[in-house]
Amino acid sequence: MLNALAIGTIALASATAHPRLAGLNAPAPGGQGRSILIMKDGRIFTEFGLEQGTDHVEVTLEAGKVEVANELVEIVLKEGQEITFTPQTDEEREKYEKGFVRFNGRWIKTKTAQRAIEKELKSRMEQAEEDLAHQEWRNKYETEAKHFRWFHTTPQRVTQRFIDSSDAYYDIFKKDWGIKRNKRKPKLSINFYNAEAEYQQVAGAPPGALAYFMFLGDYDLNAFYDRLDPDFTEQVVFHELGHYLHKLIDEQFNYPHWPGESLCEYYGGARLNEATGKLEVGLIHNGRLATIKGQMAEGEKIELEKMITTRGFEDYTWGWSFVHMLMQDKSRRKNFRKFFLGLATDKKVKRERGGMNLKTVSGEEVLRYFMECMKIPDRDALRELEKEWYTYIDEELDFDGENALIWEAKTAKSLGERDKARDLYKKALSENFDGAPAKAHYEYWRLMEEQEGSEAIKHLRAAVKKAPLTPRYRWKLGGILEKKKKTKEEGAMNKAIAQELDPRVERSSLFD
Amino acid sequence: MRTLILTTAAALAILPAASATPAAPGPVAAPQKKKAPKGYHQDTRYGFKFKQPAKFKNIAVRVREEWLAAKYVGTQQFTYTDSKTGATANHYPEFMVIAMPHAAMEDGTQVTKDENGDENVVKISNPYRDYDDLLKRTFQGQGGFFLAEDPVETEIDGVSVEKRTYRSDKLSSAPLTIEAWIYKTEDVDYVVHVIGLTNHWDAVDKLVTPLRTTFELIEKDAPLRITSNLEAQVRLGRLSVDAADKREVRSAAVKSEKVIHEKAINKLPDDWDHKLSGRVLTVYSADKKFANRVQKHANNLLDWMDDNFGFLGGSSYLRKPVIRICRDDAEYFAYLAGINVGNGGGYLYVGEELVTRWDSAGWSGAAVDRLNNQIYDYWMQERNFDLKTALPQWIDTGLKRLISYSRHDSRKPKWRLDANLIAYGKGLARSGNTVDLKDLFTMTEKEMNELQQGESKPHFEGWLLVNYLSSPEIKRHPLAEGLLGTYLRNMQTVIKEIEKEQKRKLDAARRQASKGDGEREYAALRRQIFEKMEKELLQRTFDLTFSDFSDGDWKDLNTHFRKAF
Repeated sequence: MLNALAIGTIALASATAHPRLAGLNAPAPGGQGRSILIMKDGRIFTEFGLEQGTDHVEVTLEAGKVEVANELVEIVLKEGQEITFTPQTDEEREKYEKGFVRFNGRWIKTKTAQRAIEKELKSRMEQAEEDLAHQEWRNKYETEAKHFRWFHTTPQRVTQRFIDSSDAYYDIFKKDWGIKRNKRKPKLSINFYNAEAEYQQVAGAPPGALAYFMFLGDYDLNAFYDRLDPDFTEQVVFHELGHYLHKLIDEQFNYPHWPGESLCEYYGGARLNEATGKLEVGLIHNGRLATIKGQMAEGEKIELEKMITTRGFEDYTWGWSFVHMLMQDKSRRKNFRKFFLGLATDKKVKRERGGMNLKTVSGEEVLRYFMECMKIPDRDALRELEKEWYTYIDEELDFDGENALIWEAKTAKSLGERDKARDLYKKALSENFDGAPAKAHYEYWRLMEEQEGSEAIKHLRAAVKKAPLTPRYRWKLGGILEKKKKTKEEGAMNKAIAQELDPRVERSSLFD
Repeated sequence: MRTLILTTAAALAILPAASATPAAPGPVAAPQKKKAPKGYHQDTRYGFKFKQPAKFKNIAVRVREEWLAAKYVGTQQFTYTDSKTGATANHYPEFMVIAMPHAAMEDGTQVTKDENGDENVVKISNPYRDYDDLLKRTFQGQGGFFLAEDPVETEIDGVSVEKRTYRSDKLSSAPLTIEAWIYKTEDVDYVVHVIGLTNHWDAVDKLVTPLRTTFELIEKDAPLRITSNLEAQVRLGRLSVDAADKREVRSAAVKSEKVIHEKAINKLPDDWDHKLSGRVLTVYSADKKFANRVQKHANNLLDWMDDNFGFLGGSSYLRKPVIRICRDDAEYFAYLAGINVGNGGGYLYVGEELVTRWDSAGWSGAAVDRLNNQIYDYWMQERNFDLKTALPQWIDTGLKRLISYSRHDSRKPKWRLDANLIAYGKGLARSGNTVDLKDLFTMTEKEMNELQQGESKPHFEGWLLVNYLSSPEIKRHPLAEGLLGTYLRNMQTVIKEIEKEQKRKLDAARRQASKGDGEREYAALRRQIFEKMEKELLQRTFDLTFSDFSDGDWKDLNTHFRKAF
């Protein structure tokens, strides 16, 4: 059975990035030790033969060989391997004869470099073993962070990204909103699962719920790591964390859908600046913007008053853009802050009992208080603000990043607009076929009407090329190729590889 | 007390015939059972026996169940209290014996040949690869779970046994422990699994000790064969691509009814009884007087449906439903928790049994309302499957809701006012958030859902409309009288037109369902096709029905409708 984990991208030097270490793949004297392939996405493979090529690692399974591009590989480790150096230039040869090699930008003694590399590789091996030992939920890691307690089956290296960004989120929210955790209560438990299947089983999540925050009793947040879309995973975690942070304003209060969800989305699109360790907020939420722009293009606009007073899906989309506008304006931001905090704490706000016996505020009262805090004297002024908001969306908000179209496509699909999603994916992939992520090719294939023709195969092959050790992509490709005489053998091999990677791939693929 | 029906045939299970033509099931016989020792549960089909623990009740197993061999629920209640929130949850421990034949686990398909020698591959629904897979797919909705301890391998009487312990503590009403003992034989794995509250696990463990210490494998009557769901459902010719001969459909219906009845009776525990009377077979562990009342009520309700909706035409033979009447809530919910999920009560498809129970709210309570829902669904599905699987949701739910409040156990039917719905309607009228009747008739489910986000509640108004059009009030308005019948007839006409236009897709759906989950799957696929056509269906029906309605007529009807409440 394959041992595989999902972890995200990290900035560690890879042994494969040391071209001088040509001897890394030489067999150990007296025979071969175990080989371990650690992927950048966090998975660890221990059961396959591995050979390092110039630009790829060749992975040998029983069912066949798979080429995995170096850019996907974190490191290849082989137990007992001998570390040798091969000088490439005259200077290196000269230094090597004197007993020195170039290592991490400095000339150091060959033996010292050898020891350093051995130490690093040993440490990596030990960490890989640790990670494998923690991949069952009963053996999960428990990591105490600055503001949260993490329980996870994702390897430490990967989880660190989310730990750091979540702590940064807490810090900035604390600074902006003055929240305080009751020290007599434990830190929020964040349960982080290494794959969606594990999350659904262990966390009991209903289908379609990408994450959830349990706001009763001991607070509990559950989310999973999508190795094929770590940025989206972070957005989802941030969104749910937002609900927890709102809770810290007043634990007996349940924020109304608007502005609660909208503010969660505002911070949901944030990113950690690794250099400064600070969270960059106020970024563009491509997915949400895609929905709004699409609706505007069809002549639909959400009325501001209706949005503020009623609960609807638009709180995630239009609501986000409205909060974005307020938060980017210094004076309005101050008033909006007063409004948001005051909903829970201001004595002048009329509250009522809602679900779970928590206090909340009716739509009409939210509007009244909003207008008071934002100094909007009457309905006419509110309508003026509404106009200003539409203009803001039109002129100030634009997509961020090269995958904007793909975000639009994802959003359309999540809203059930399959035809629109398909057209957006098609456009995105025609503009940037090679640069698009594997998942985009695969999702596009799922939406195609003709799923077995040459165009379909082209996209499935692209998905497999970019994610060569993803069982489902190979299974689907193999299934189609198998039906054609010319590619029958190739199809069968792909399916066999998929099954070797995951014996349950057939069943899980049925739900596609 | 249980009476076996003995016939002269040999086979218990229906043999597979996965071809396009309907299978003709062989006659069914109860197996010759060896008498179990006193106090023992013995099963010679699956091949095991054990001493029945005290404080546990044998729960009947559903007709559709093939993997589940025995199910017991404790009579002693345990309680969990959340120390943080103070919320409490009660739980009765339960255990099941599940048989997992290796042949069915290895390959989820059966390949047979039809009379032309063509291969047909039939997928067995819900085959489980192993116990973990079974748990993943059947524990849904009860919270998350995980393997909490390393599995332990041991040997009992020469049989290799693996013990697996799971915990469920997220999104469950109380933390649970699941302990499974997997007996591994050459051809079948037997799983004895126990579920109880974690905080009372020691006590639960003590209660099931007799089960563990006495469980043993015994000789089977015959090699164990798990049949596919398709066989359990028994096709009626609705899946045939070509139009089926009416006599053939009727004959198949009669035969399948016999199979289903015999299966239901043969699986009854010792303390259950059964009675065939009129148009209904009841199987019950509830009080006999209550069971008789349910039977009379169900018979009369079916007659009422024939009298009032018979104009919808359709199938001439309505199979006598099996109505299962559980003793109480605990038995009812334990019965419904099986390992073949999805039987009965669903909006899309009603299964072979209608299930109810005696509940403390009495005859006017929700249990009988729910039974009425099932009888309505069953009648519509049997009489006019095509209409039922194409009918817009608000009409279907409106009719179901109307019938749920009726009682037919006396000479004349009694109707209870849907007070909640009426109060809601009045509130909507007062606030001015009503939907015009003319718009309501052409509103799709998607449009209703979107409008429902605001202050208007078109679903409720739709149900009110159905209620109104079925009420005596319509006699006072010439436009309203007979309108529902006319509307439904016209809708039927439009459905038939759409069926011709969508013939290719519907035929493909039938073929797919024939190889898959049978009628249940076909109902879902057909529903999908009609959902895409919903606007057109509603508009064309509207045009047929209201072509001569003027604006004044609509205004009049609106006013009368609102005033009726």
